[in-house]
Amino acid sequence: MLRLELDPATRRTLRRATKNRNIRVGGAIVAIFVLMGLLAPFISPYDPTQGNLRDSLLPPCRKYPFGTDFAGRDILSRVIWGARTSLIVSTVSVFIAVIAGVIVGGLSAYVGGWLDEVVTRIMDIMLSFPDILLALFVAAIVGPGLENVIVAVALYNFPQFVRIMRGSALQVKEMEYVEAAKAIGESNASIFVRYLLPNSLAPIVVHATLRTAASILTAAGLSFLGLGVQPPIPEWGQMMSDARTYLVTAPHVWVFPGIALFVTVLGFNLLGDGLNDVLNPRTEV
Amino acid sequence: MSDLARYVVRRILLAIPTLLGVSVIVFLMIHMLPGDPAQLLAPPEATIQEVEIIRRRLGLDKPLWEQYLIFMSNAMKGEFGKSLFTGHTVSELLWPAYLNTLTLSVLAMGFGLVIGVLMGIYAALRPNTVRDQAVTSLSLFGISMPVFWLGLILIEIFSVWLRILPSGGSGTPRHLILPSLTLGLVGAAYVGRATRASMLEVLSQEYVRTAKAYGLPDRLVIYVYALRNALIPVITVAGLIFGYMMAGAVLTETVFSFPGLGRLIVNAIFARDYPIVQAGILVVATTFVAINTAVDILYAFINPRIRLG
Amino acid sequence: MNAKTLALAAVVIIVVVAAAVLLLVPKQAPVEKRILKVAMGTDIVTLDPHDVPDNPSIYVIDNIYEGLVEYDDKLNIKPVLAERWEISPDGKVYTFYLRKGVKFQDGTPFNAEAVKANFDRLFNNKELANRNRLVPFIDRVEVVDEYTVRIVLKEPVATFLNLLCHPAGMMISPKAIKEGVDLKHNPVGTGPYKLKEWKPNTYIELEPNPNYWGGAPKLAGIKFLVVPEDEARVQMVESGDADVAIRVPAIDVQRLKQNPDLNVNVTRTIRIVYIGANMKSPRLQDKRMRQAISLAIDREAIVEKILHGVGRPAKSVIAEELIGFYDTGKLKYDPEKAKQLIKEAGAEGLELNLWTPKGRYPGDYEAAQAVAQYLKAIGLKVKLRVWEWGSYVAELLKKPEDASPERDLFLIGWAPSTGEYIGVFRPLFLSESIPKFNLWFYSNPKVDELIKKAEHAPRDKIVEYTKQIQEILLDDLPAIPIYNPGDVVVYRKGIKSLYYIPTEVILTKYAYFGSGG
Repeated sequence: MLRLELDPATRRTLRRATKNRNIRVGGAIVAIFVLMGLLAPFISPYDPTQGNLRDSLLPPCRKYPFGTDFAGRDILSRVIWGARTSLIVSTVSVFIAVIAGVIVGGLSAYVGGWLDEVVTRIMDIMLSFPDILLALFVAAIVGPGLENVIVAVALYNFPQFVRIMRGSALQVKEMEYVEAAKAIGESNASIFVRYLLPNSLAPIVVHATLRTAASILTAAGLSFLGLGVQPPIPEWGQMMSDARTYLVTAPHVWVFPGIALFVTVLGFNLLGDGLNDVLNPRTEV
Repeated sequence: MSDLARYVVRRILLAIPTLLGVSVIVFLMIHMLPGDPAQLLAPPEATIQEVEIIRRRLGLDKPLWEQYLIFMSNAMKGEFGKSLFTGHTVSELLWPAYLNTLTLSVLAMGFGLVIGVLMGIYAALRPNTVRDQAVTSLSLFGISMPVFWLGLILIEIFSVWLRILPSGGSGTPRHLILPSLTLGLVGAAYVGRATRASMLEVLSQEYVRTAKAYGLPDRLVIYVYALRNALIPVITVAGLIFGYMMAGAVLTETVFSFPGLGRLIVNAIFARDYPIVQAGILVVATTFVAINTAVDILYAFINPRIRLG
Repeated sequence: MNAKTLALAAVVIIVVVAAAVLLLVPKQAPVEKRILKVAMGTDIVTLDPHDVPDNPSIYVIDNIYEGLVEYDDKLNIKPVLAERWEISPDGKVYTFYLRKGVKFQDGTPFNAEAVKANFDRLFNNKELANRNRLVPFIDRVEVVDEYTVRIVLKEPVATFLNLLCHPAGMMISPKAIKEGVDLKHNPVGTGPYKLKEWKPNTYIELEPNPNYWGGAPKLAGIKFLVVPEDEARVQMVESGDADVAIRVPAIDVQRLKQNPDLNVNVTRTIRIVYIGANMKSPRLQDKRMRQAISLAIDREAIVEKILHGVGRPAKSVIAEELIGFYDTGKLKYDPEKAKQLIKEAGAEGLELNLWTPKGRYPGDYEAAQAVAQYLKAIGLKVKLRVWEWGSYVAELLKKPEDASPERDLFLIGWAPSTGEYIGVFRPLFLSESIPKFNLWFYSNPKVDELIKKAEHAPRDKIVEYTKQIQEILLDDLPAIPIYNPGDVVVYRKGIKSLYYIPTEVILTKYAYFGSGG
């Protein structure tokens, strides 16, 4: 990485990145989200999992700025802690999907032949499971819970990264310098790490950012359907799902987690768009 | 033309192994689900032997491969068997739900296309101005919006405050408005982005500039030449979104208790009603693959270069 | 204008006038004969009373089929197809004198042979879901003469008539049984209504049975609409799109009570929701643990805040409405005592698993979270897990040796569909009921003996035994009773004789539209 930073082209990219408004705004939102997740134990006013039943469903007031939920828990504290849950689920699941996708997609493209054919077929099948249904099915099989949601969301992201990695690896494979490296007998592993990976990095970084946004939404969607993280662990999608019973009587229960979810996803999408502009100048006007 | 025909045939043939793969995976996944339909079907007091009798009656005692072959051979004939719980044929349950979701998606797509295309053009005509930024931000808002949250907001406004639209259920056209608006607004965001990008690209191209240079009126250039060309990639995006709407409407359907395909499948997964899950996912996947194939073919038809690749 | 158009115009005018007259006239009549529209949450499963596993199906079946006897809304026993009966002094022989002149909906006469044919069906067909509610107790059924039938029990059962009130005791046309009609979809009973159409996931429509022995039915039909969303059912009854809404959320009760067009009926049920305690779990072996958990829970607060007042705190392992109920006074809220017991048991800071389904019983998921908070407040740690029903049932019904080692506490509800105490004690607390509904793996020879005595005791002696059973169970606490949920039925003013049976069944067959509130 240090070697990369010395590269003048990279420096130019970095300079452009710091000037990009999408990156600035998106980055700021993401930073707040990450800080909220990391600092939750220090900044939340109450224990997010312990309420007083006698204080249930209070509207926002001085004691509870966002009000309380059905169990009398402080919604502000739950929104803050919810950031941590989303942070863990989205980053870990995208990370797993990226690693697995890079390995499978890269190998598939590099080795080619029947392996490539089989991988492509399987990815086609996985991608024709429409959107949330695959994650939902996996969640139903492994049961709810934080780890299982991560697995389900990772599996849902996985074919996307296989596709991207495979696509860019196919391009790079044909390049002269890779041919040359092969000719002078460089090992396959070395070619993979030195040429294939760095050249595929830009689209993967952009896509990973955008998929983080999608993963936060998917994880929240699973929780909304009752297949997500277990209560009383605070999770935004689940908080909204629980609130459906009190739609009329206590709208504050679903409004605040919704805002948090929306702004966070927006932040990642802005950041992803900005990175796309900077790293992928072709689409710049 | 024979080139195109060959391409079409190839695309359709390619879809078959994909769908077979889907059917195998769905089948295996269903049987990986914890829980036993025979147990759920039996009354609380049933003994273990009685549950076994029910299991045999449902054909669930046979080996997996045999169950799969039975299912597929029936599916080929268009018979998906019966619901394990109510004994109704799966078709009886599936097609009304499918039709509901189709209606919902078509309406939503209508909303999405109209709002999205107008927004995209509006933005692309004055790139990098305030109004372009407003549209771009708005569509980014739409993409980042959790559908179920949007649904709850619309319910709060239209059902709770204004009391003019039902918050859920189905049966009358009024029940379709909020769910299709919810899905459609998110669709509009994607369509808007695609329209803007493609419009910008077309407007910067040589022939548009030439047309303008020749003194053709701006409106004519924009709405006849540019738009026609700009809409080609939008169609692709719209096709993809439509596919996702057909399948990904589960959340919207749940918020509005809309009796669509997504909810039918989710409820069947919870109830372990295997035949419905199998048939449901297969139908969704077939629709999804069919739409994608159709979009690809359409694209090839409009843009012959693609067939070579 | 030619002759043809003229004729057409004339026809149109006549039709319009006729329609107007037809529309106006019935409005003046005091009793309207129209279709009763009932909005319920789920579709039915079957129309076969001997095989029915769920309540919504029973709502429909109750209009089509009848038994020898039935429950009224206070769980008293009423004669229906039997006019009267005699019980032998040893309590083993029940002689029923049947109603004469009753015909099934296919024209087959109802008589002693028909009764015998129905019991034969229960005896011979092992697949029928409900056969065990009656078959294990009956030795034989004898036809005495055309309108007299005798049921001989293996041993006396004090609540045998209660058992007969269950749909398992309903009478199906012997002709339909013999011909192997698909009774799941084509019911043939003696009741006031018969099936018109069952459109899956949409509605079930019944039409009057003109030959009903009790006189022509008072409604033009009954239509059960399947409306899963709670809010949608409420809106329908508010707007008049439905006449009755079943299972209305408790939170809407106050608002709906202010609507002058609606009756809001907050009813009682015989369901108890428990926190089950796995007696095999090493963390719950000590009786003081289970007692501490019971004392830690503020049942009043749960009823008030989570059930919104629709329901009552549980007082025992069975509901107050059941014969044999006895209040031991042991279910109290005393967190200080609970803390002390935890300390004595040396279990401070111990982590327990707590499982719950979601949406199966009113307030289940919310109550489990409240219980978790109460346990945390007395110094325990709780790991909550929400299950979806399919997996939950499968896990809970496992044999003790296969059960998850994580099973400690689990929320489960039970309502005996037979409406009597045997339907609670036998499946839930008898040793023989492991591995079935004795989900807590509770085995106590003393309780086994008492349950069997209570089953065969004469009616006036029942409480003697059930009191002892309840004393032991509320001391051992394999199942910690939490609450007794109520139910809310909302119907439009003008509907009369709509009954709610505490077995969680809404009885529509007597309903009619009258004038006034």
